[in-house]
Amino acid sequence: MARNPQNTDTLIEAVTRLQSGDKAALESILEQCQERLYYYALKMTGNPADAEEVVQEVFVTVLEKIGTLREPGSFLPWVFTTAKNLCFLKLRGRRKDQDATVSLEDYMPRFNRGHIGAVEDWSDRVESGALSKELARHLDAAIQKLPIEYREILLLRDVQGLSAEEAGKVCGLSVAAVKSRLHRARLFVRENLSQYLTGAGTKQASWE
Amino acid sequence: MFNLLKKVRDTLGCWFSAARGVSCEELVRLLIGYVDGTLPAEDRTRLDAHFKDCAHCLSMMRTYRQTIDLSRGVSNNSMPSEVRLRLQRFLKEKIQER
Ligand SMILES: [Zn+2]
Repeated sequence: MARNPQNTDTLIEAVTRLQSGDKAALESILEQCQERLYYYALKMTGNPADAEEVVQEVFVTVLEKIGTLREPGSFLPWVFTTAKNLCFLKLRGRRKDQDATVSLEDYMPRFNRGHIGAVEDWSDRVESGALSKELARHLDAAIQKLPIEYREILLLRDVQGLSAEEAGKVCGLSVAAVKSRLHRARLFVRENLSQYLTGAGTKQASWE
Repeated sequence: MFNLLKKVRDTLGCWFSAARGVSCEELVRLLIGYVDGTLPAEDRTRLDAHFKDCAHCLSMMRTYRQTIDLSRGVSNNSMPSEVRLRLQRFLKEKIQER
């Protein structure tokens, strides 16, 4: 789960250089962060044009406010807090999207007097790290279906690799609250992948 | 026939595990700590014992872990090249403005 320490080091280096007035360091920060910020904003807003604007505005903030960041090591939580606030501004005023109808409960494991129902092991059918286009599309759709308060945690913690403490800082939650939401979000995504990979699970959607 | 035997074995295994202290339901609740490595050692041992006897919970743990691993790669190549170019141009102008 830990971030690649080497990458984090070069990011911190670039942040430190930018703080000391080296504008060229922004390019390195851009290279290391644009993709992840874009994906985060895209999943949060569900809209490519909004995502692009959010990333632009985040980097303007980086350029203008980098001096206010005390610890270069907390650059990522800082930058994702900025991104999060911008995403919520975009969402404000927009009508609630259809994913409000998804019930997490339908995707949680079932128990009978404490005993779990049948679970198929598909973990060997996919190579970790090697995400096929098709599987990536299903994973992507499952993340997008999550209610936003669960989605934001899964994006920060599992997709972006922030620590539970950092994710809590970004979302204004305790570590315990982060973990509890993350757990349910993971179980939801796991069940979605499970249904796709095993062809099992609730099929009512496809009958309609 | 084999499938039936397997089912009986899985179910029995599950009951034995429960007798030893951790039910499947409790195990799933503790799974996040197990996978993230924050679970106290004694709970970890109890879960490991349960996994030996309960194929369903083992599958749950392995697919839960795989879900996390897959999530790490999902943001790669998500940004269209024209967005990348526009962003570069936009920031170059911003830097020159200042
Ligand atoms: Zn079990």
